[in-house]
Parts: sequence; structure tokens; C-alpha cells
Amino acid sequence: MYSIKTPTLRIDEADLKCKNGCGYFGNEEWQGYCSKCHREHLQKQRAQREHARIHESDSSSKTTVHGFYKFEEKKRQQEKKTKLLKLSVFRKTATKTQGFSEIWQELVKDNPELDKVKSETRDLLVQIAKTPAEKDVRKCIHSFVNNILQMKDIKSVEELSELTQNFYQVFAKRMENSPNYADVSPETKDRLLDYIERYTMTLLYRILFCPPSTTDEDKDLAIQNRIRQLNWVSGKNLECRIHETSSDVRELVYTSITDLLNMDSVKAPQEKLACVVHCCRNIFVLLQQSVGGPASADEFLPALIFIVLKANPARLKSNINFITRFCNASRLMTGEGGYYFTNLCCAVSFIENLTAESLNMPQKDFDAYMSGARVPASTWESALTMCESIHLMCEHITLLDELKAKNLEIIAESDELKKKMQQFPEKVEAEVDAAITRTPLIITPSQRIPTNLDCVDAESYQLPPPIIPQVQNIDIYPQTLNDETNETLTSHVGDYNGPSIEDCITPSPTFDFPAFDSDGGLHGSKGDDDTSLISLDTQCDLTAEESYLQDRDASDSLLDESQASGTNLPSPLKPVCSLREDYHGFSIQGSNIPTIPCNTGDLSHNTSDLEADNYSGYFHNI
Amino acid sequence: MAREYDHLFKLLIIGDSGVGKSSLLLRFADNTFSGSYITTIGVDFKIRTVEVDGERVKLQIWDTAGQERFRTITSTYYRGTHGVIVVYDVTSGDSFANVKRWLHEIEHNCDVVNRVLVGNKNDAPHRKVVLTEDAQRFATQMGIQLFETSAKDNINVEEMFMAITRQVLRTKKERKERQAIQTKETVNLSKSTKQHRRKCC
Repeated sequence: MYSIKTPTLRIDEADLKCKNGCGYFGNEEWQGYCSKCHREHLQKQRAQREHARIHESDSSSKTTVHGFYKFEEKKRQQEKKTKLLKLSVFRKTATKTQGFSEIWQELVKDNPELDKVKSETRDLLVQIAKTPAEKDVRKCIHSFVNNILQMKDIKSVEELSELTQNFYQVFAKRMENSPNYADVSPETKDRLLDYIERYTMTLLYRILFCPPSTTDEDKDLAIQNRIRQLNWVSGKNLECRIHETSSDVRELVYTSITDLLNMDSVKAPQEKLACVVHCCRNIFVLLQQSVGGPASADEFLPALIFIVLKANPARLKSNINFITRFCNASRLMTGEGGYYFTNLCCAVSFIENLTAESLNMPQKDFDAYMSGARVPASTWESALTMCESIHLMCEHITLLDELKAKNLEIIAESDELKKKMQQFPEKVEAEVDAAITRTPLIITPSQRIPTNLDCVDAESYQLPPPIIPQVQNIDIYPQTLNDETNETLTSHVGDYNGPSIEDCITPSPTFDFPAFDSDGGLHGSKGDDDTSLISLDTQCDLTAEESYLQDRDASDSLLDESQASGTNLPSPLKPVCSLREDYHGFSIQGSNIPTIPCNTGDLSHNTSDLEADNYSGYFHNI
Repeated sequence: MAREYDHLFKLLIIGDSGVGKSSLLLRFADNTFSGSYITTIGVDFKIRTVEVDGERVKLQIWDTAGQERFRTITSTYYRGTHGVIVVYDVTSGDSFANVKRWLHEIEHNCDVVNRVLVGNKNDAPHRKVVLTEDAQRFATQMGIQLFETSAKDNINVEEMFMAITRQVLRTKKERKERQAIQTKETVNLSKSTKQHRRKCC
């Protein structure tokens, strides 16, 4: 402050005296007054200014918020305003005459926040207790507070801010360089820096927050009115994607609004900043829920603007200015708090300069909304959020809507399922039909094979005539001897000696007849369809010998023909030989053949009974 | 100072809406091992500590809203910024045309600041509108380093951030040297003022 004074060599003594003529020496710093007269002069000036302002606000009959530091806590109770304000002027003048220490005493007294700061940082204070650091911290705080108290009426708030920032910087440097802090850890240093900021600012809050010399108060009012005018602005206007109907999101909107409002109730700049950070973090969470993914600044800023508009925080401008002036600048320029605070400043500045263009709406509409000529539907929406019961109802409606949607979904799905179920048998039927049209190709040959077998079988039934000649075997033997080798002949003979007679008996129709008879009798009661292939065939063979012969002709296999021809062979012996082996095979197959009827037949248990009969018959015969 | 970093820099990402500023930031902050950065919040504000020439540099990267209507208020962001990343979209000619406006804004708001030009979304050659040659010519003319990146495919993102970090670090060191020279001169001055003060009192 001395640097401003230009030293002059020759000054009249009169120039040095107080302008008031009280006899004391004056000072250029004090506008030529002595210190006492200067203070009185300043007080007079301020009183005049404040009176003028009160009258102004009275005449305008607006509900105004006054930034009197004696009345910050009661600011919102605007009813008491004028009378008390006048009183406060006198009270303030009374305090002014007191010394700095007395003012300090008053500041410390009845300051619960200061006690809170102390109690919250007790561990830190204990940590540095009885060290040179503690003494130094106290000394620094004391000198700084004294300095501010000295300067508060003389310097503008900007100069005080500069002084404060200097103090932070000097203290930080002091901690780095002073031997007093040599054995203090960097973390503690950071905390100490934070502590002195918090402590001094809480202490000096009444003096530094919204000082009467500034126009902060008017700006507060202006922005408050502006926001009130803009209450019709909705999230849609700002193109911010806040999912308003979701109760979770709405809850977060409330929380962030509360955080922002809380900014006015805390005192230290970093505490105010913390409120902003909390608010913004909540905005990010709600954006993440609304958008479904990480939100970017493109979404964040409109959302913050929306929250500021809905919150309309008290003394917004004063708070912002207080933080800007008295918060450690390094904190504001970097860090999360800095980022969010910058965004808040941007939001406020956007609100201040909001035009139709920035909301992407025609000027005419904007004017209509601003003048209140038109009330948009969104206002009603925002009103909804204010009323708790309607809010609850709204939630229920959304819940019902969701349930309805789900219900519809379920109905649609069940319909689909029903359709599918109806289609399923049709599909199966179609597939089965297709399979049936396809399968006869497979079934017919399989039908033929048994018929072929049956042909052989039938032939064997036909064979009795050659069997009969078997009795004459001995007569024919010499003839076969000529055809075959001696070895085979002997083996043949060996075979023939034993089982030949039995084998010859097996194909005889006599043993089959009873079985087929029983078959036929049973089948007759169940209908002809149920008759097994083999029984059909055999029945055919047995009942109609003429048709059987035709069947035999129809069969394409050469073997059949040859066999057929074989039957016609003059020598009956050769077929016997071949037949003997066939009989073995047949007798084995013969046990399998009855299984075919059981598969095709409807009444499996009956046929299985029959089978058992057949088996027993066969086995008995074998 | 026994801290977890040697330098702390504030970087700002600016550019038109939808050019991929946030994606770049997300890519840079999330593509490294988890210990080096703190993901406390959304995309907007990220911290990552990188190592440049053996020095730990803590980067605080601020994302900005690129919409036209917010352009007037973005000046607040520039306070204390060390480096600015100007982003355009290689598939959008308009965003490249606006780069000049953004650069002008930087000049308007900051005295000395390191800048880097970034053409993002460089992953679909058939959709590319802004040719590399044109961008490079413009960048050289303005004296800025150009990077063509793709946050989607993670092309050049890391390199770009490291380049701006190095640039900022270099500027800081140069300034320090200059300050060191200046302080030598100012020592005498401050002494003289002190003497002057004593006379007054």
C-alpha cells in the first residue's frame, strides 16, 4: 500500500494534517484524513449508501434479498427486512468503533461453524500441537485476519481477494521453506493449507461474503428473478435427456437440487465447492441412468443448467463470487471441484444470456413464454414434481404403464405360443403325411421280401410232391453221385443218415397247419386287416393255390424262377439238397418272421401270445 | 515434493458437437492399466498419470460441451489451461471448417497455450471427407501438430495425448528457465523496494 504513495520532498505541514482539522496528521491512504476521522467518514458514506438502497428497494416494492452481513442467516425471512436493516446500520456503526480484537472476539463468539471446523480438524491440530508449526500457523492466521479486518473498509473486495490469494500462496511457500515445517509431512501440509483456508474463511465469512460494497446482492436478485421467469424451461427445451418419469432419476434430481441449495448454508469456500461437486456427481449418476452409458459434457452441461433452473439457489451469484474470490485459486483452476465449478459458472452465464436461439425455439414462442402469456405443458410437468402426492401418483401411473406393457407382452407371447401349439400338430401331420408318401417305397420292398421268402416258403409247401418222392431217394442217389465228388457225397451221406428225415419233416405243411389254423381263427375275430403278412401269405398259399402260382410267376427273382423251374425238374433230388440248407436258414428265420406281424398288428399282446404259440410250435417242432 | 506426480497439467478438449471428444477421453483414460488413473465419475473429467522422459505427469483432462449454443460461455473453461486439444471429425467438413473458429477462441482466451489438432473418426476411409493433406497444410500453416486418430479403433490416441503432454512439459521447462533468469534481475529490484519502504515508515 505504501508503493502507491509517491514520496514528495517538500510538503507543507498543512498538507500532512487531517483534512477534518482535528489536529492529527492525515494520510494520503485515508484520503487525507487521520485514521479516526477517515473511519468516521467512511461509515457516514456507507450509511448514506445503504439508506439510499433501502429506499430504492422500498419504492420498487420488490421482495429483495439484502446482503447485510449481520443478517445473512435471516436473509430469506424477507418480511422483517426493512426495519431490522435500519437497526443493523446502527449496530454496525457501533461495532465499527470497537478495536480489531473486539471485532475478532465477536466473530469468534456465536460461531458454531468455527467450532465445527475446529472439531473436524482436531486430529490435525493434535498432530501439530506444541510444535513450531502450530505456533507459526497461529501467527499466520492471526496476522492475516488482522490484516483483513484492517482492510475491510478501505479496500475493494477484489483487493481483499488478492490479499487472500497472496496469503494462501505465501503460506504454502512458507511451509515449503520455513524450518518450522521441516518435519511435517506433505499430506499434513496440504491439510494445513486447507485448514487455514477453512478456518479464516469461516471466521471472516460475515465480512467477506457478499460485502456491502459490491453489487453481488443485486446480481443475486437479478438471477433469481431470471430463473423464476424461466421456470417454464423444461429438459426438452435444453435437449437434456433426463428420464423424468423414472422415480430413481427423479430422486437423484432432488438430491442434486438439495446439494446445490446446500451451497448457501455452508461457509468455507471448499465446503461450498464440495456441495457443487456432490450435485454434479449426482447429475452424472442420473445421466448414466437416463442415457444408459457414460455421459459426456454434451449431456452434462444441459443437465446442470436444468438443475440450476429447477433449484433456483439462494444468493447464487454471491456464492459463486465468494468462491471465485476467496477459494484457493489453484483449487479452482484444476481438480474435480474446479471443473464442476467452471461448469456451474457456465450454466449461470448461459441462464443469464439465454435467448430463444439458445433454446432452439422461435422468438415469438420464447416471448410468449417469458411474458407468461403461454404456459407450456412442461410447466405442469414440473409442477407435478413439486407436489409429493401427485408425484407419487405419477410414479404409480408409470408403474401401471410398465405393468400394462408387460401384460400386453405376455398376452402377445401367449397368443404366439397358442398359434405355435395349433400349428404344431398340423405340422407334425404334414410331416407324417410326407413321410408316409415317401415311405411306401421302402415298405413295399420290405413287403416283397417276406413274400419272396414266403414264395420260398410256399414253395416248400408246394414241395410235398418232391418230398413224397423222397421215399424213393435211394433210387435216385446213384444219379447224384455222378454229378458230385466223392467227398461231398460222403458228407452228404453222413448228413443224410441222421437228420435228413427230420429236416425233411420240418418243411412239411402238416406242422404248420395247426398254427395257421389258430392264427386264422383268431384273426377272423379281429378282422382281416390284422392278419400278419406271413399269415396272409400262408393263408393265401394255403387257401388259394391258383393265386399262389400267379404270385410265384409275378416274382422277378431268378432264384424263384429257377426254384420254380426246379420244382418242375424231373429229378427231385437236387432241389432236396438245396432245400436242406434252406430249411436250416428258414427255421432260424422262421422264428423271426412272426415278429413282423406283431409290429404291424394293432393288438400286440394278442399277437405276442400268438407269437409265443408260434414259437412254442416251432421249437417244439425243432 | 514427495507426491505421486512431478507435474500437474490441465488439458482441455474442444471441438464441435459429436466429433468424438468424449470418446477420445474415454479411450485415453480407460485403455490403460487400471492403476494409473482414477475413474471417479463420467467421461467429462478424467485424471491420468503418465510418464514422460522419466517424469510423472498428472493430466487432468476437461471435456467441454461442443454445441453451438454453449460456445459463448466456454471461455470460462480456459482458466489455467496448459494445453488444448482441438478435435474435428474427418468425416465432417463442417467440423473441420470450424477448427479455425476454435483456434481463434483459444487465442482470445489464453495467452500462451499448447495446441494440438486432432482429426478423429479416422477409421472409415470411404467416409473420409477431410483429406490428410489439406489438414496437414492447415496445421503447418497454423503451427500446430496434426494427429489423425480413431477412438473407436484406438489409433493414435495415446500418441496424441503423449505429444501434447510432452509439448506442455517442454513449455513449462522453458518458462521456468526464463523465470530463473528474470528472478536474478528482479532480486535487485525487490531489494530496492524494501529499502524504499523502510524510508517511508
